[in-house]
Amino acid sequence: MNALGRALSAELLKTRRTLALLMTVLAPLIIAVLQFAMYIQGSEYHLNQVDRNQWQSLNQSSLLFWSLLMMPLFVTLETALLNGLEYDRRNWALLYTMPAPRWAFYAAKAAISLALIGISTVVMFGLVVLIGLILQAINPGYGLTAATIPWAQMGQSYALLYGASFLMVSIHLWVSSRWPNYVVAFATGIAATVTTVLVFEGDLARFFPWSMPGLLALSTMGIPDLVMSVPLFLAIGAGGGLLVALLGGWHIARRDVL
Amino acid sequence: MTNNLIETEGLTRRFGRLSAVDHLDLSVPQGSVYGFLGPNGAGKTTTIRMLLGLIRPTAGRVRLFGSPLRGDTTALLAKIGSLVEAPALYPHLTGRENLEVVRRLRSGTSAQVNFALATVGLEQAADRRAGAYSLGMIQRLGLAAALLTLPPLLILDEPTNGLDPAGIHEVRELIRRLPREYGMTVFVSSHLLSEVEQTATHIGIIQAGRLIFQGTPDGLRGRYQDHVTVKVDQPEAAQQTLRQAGWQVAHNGNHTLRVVANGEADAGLLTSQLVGSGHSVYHVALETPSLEDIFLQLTASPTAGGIR
Repeated sequence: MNALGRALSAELLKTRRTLALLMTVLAPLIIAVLQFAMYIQGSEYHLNQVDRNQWQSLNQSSLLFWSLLMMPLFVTLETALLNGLEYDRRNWALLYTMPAPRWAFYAAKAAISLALIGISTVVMFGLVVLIGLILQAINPGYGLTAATIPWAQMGQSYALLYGASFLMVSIHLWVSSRWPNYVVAFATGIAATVTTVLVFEGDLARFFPWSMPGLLALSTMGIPDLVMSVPLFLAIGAGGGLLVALLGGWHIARRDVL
Repeated sequence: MTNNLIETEGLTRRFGRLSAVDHLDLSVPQGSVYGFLGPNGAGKTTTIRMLLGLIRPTAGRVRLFGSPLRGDTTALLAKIGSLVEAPALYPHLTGRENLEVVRRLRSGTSAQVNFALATVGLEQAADRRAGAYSLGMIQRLGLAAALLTLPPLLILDEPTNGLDPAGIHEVRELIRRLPREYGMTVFVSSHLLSEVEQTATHIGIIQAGRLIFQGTPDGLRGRYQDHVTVKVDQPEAAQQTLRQAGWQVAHNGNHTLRVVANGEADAGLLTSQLVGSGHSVYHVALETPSLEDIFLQLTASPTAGGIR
């Protein structure tokens, strides 16, 4: 097995019984429960809206909560927890005395971070479908029948959300690798989330790494103000993420382990 | 061809204006147990970090297995097991899983994990979470990780930290066995000479970043001569008598003289000379300084003289 494969295999084992792994289900579940409660509480608004695409409406509001509020904090938490595995017991010294180039450990962390974010994205997608079906079972007036689930559109929106989030993930991975103190990582995440909410309605939001994934995902739903060039913004999100990951790996590989 | 597994030349590391390690020239022969000694803060861990490529030297060179430590160090690190300062581990994983992480990174075998656990006496606790381990067990787990693939070179930074006397004895025995049974070379740091004097075939003493001795334990002992303490009735006159006979004598202010001597024969000779000159001798004692005494004397002052 090559160095990256070995680093990845070790990194995978390290995630066993971690909060990082648990959070991949817990974070989307929080949004799903919140969404479910809002639909139950606002049933008068949601019931019998025959002229509205109910699945798109449910998906849109779920995406909004997930991508703009939960995801930046979730990415912050996941990357901080993954790097905390090394910082809490000064394990960087252990890793860097292993027979593998340093970049391999950073690349393995990046891959695991993206995998965990990917799992949570799929879980979020699944939970949106699940709560829709449960709401429909409770009251058919919600109009969320299994036959009308827009699989392709929903799949596309979550795929774009995930692809465009690479830049955000790479930035947080570098921040939490660079500074051992969790405060720096969380301060960055909180500041980014607050900024996302503030700039959300402006043009700047389209280029802001923390709001770009959500806006790109929502743009697939034909919202006029959000028409965005999918290839361009996907390239910025995914390509930018790769570039930041490469720079982060280069930087982390050169540092002294004191 | 060199038979030194570790060689450093002018190895220096500065942190701002502080020289943590200052022009260190180490030579660690293959098959040796090299005790790297120095008081806390002398530069031992900084040296070890440079040997492992964890930090870059400000100046100087490191050669491991005859090859310079620079660029791609993967091949060199494959031949080195290490334990640096506090042993690293993942508390949410069991002892066995921690070794499995190292096994995966070193491409080892499952049999090696079992062997390492047995070697450090952690078989019974192998499936307990490492977070519940005592300090001594954590140290053992760190040792197990270091020798997992039985690398030809083992670099251990204070491996007996946190161990009880029985644990210290076991680690000492293990270190003694490794070169004999597995052909390993062991570089072990400590701030206590007593910890390594029974196992080390070579000793390096570092003080304030500088190497103030390097050689064998016998070589270190040879630098310091025995002396005889003599109590007499007239110390000034006795001192005069001994000096005239060619002895190096110091008078400590009361009735005691301290004479540089070489073994029991010298003690007998100088005593008979004193008695023959009419002095009353109350007490004669031959004193051989222990390595601990020598080490403490060497490292007592930051400006300790180099006796290379």
